[in-house]
Amino acid sequence: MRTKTALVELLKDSRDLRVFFKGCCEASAARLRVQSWQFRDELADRGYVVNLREVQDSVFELARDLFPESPGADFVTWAGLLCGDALARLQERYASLSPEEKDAMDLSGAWCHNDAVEEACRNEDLPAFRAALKDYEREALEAVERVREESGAA
Amino acid sequence: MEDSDGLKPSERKVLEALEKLGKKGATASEWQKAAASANVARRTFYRAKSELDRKKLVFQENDRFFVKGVIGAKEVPRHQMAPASEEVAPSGTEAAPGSIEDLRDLYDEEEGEE
Repeated sequence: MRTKTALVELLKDSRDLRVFFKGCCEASAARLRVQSWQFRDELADRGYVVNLREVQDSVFELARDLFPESPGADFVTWAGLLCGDALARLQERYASLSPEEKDAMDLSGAWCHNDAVEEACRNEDLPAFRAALKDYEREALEAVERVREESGAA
Repeated sequence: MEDSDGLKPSERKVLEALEKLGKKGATASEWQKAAASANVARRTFYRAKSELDRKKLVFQENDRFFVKGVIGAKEVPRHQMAPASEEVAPSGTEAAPGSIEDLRDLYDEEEGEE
């Protein structure tokens, strides 16, 4: 069973969860995302174990199907939240570099993934966006490690 | 412990609850209520339901569940059946359109009640 199908069945079975889901959609994308763990746990109680990221992608898709005008269905906000997480992780590593290492850092490998990020945004495809962003982040982190190795700090 | 049919007592109770609902089958919530009448807790019900599905002892047509092999059960053409778990890609998030329509109907009904 796919995660979205499992979520649909879950919401059909519980009025409380339907009310909760709708409330999250109407509050904000951040609220819907942050509360996804509750849907993941409810699914797990029913024997459907899935990771949080997949639940988040599914609640977003479901918000778009059911409440397309709600804040929870806004792709740009969801994308911004994912970018914020990725940037925070990169910033943590970047901050550990010396000024010389920062100057020497080459992010061209990460930029190669811009097209995939842009295409996912054009299609408002959250799983594809997440995957493209992950590739971008991986390349950027590798650039950080490279510059540290080259300076002999690693 | 499983019996000779490979069923745990809770799974047996849940299966019997669906059998008692007859050839018209039941929605998940109707089935759960019937199982609750047989003293099966809600969480136990959903675990047993998943197991019965995995063991292919029940099947789902749209929103209703049926016991496989029940005498008089409605014959469902294969092309109208919900896909079995092995027929569905392991990842992805797409739901059957009918299910979403049912959920949308529930929301519409509840909005009308407010």
